[in-house]
Amino acid sequence: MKLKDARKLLIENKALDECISVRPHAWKDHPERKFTSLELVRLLRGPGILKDNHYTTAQPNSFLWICKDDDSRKTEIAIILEKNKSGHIIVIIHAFREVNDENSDR
Amino acid sequence: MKTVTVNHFRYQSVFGEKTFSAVTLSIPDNLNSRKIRSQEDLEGQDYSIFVSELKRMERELALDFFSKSYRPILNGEKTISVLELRGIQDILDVNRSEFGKLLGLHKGSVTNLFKGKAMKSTLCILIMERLGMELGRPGSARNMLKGGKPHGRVPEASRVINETRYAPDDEAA
Repeated sequence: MKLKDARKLLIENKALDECISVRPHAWKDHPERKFTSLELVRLLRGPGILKDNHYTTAQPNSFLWICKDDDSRKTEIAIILEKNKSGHIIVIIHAFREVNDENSDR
Repeated sequence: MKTVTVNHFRYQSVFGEKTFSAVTLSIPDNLNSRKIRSQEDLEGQDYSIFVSELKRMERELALDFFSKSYRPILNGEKTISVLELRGIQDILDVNRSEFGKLLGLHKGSVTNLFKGKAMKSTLCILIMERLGMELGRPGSARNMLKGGKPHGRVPEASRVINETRYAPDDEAA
């Protein structure tokens, strides 16, 4: 999927609860980043920019939602757009933000 | 991508941990949904949880937190931790400045609260009231910010909240 189509789908679907799902990895596996599941959803629904995910470790066909959290820290949320019976679903697969006491990789 | 319903799904949030029944999850097409009966079958798999289900589980855990903590906070025996504050913000579905508006605080004061600054007991009570309001009537925090009327009540949550609010002190203890 191209970025332009992904942007369109994201705008159409991000307000709907049934069109977003979150992988537990996104908030569980890096506790130092202190994400919560609903915080990720709130950040995705807020202002931000969607870009192609160019990280070497990125999942194919994933995109990056770049936004700022409540403490104005740059936050990157990796998403994929999956198709199911009823349409497209936005899946939050990974999330990153810089933390002072963190030395972890993306 | 397909959906599967899992019974006995263990979910943990800042308010605690609980097992939930009939949780709808999204799984990759290559997984056999018939073989997935419990959470253990999903170990190591790329499953995801729908937001509607996340909200349901978070609200239930928040209601348990409200029932347990309202009286101790009212009596000044307990305060709200930073983690719990973050959980309450998630339930209210507001950003920091909106959270401040709900409490009548400046954004900077709210930031201080999230950094761990001590809270007055009156502020703790107000935060719990806002949480109770949102749990009893979902969307009411956002409606309050817009100056509109709240949505319909959630009977079960409203019952628990009223029982917690008006329980005699000795019974709540």
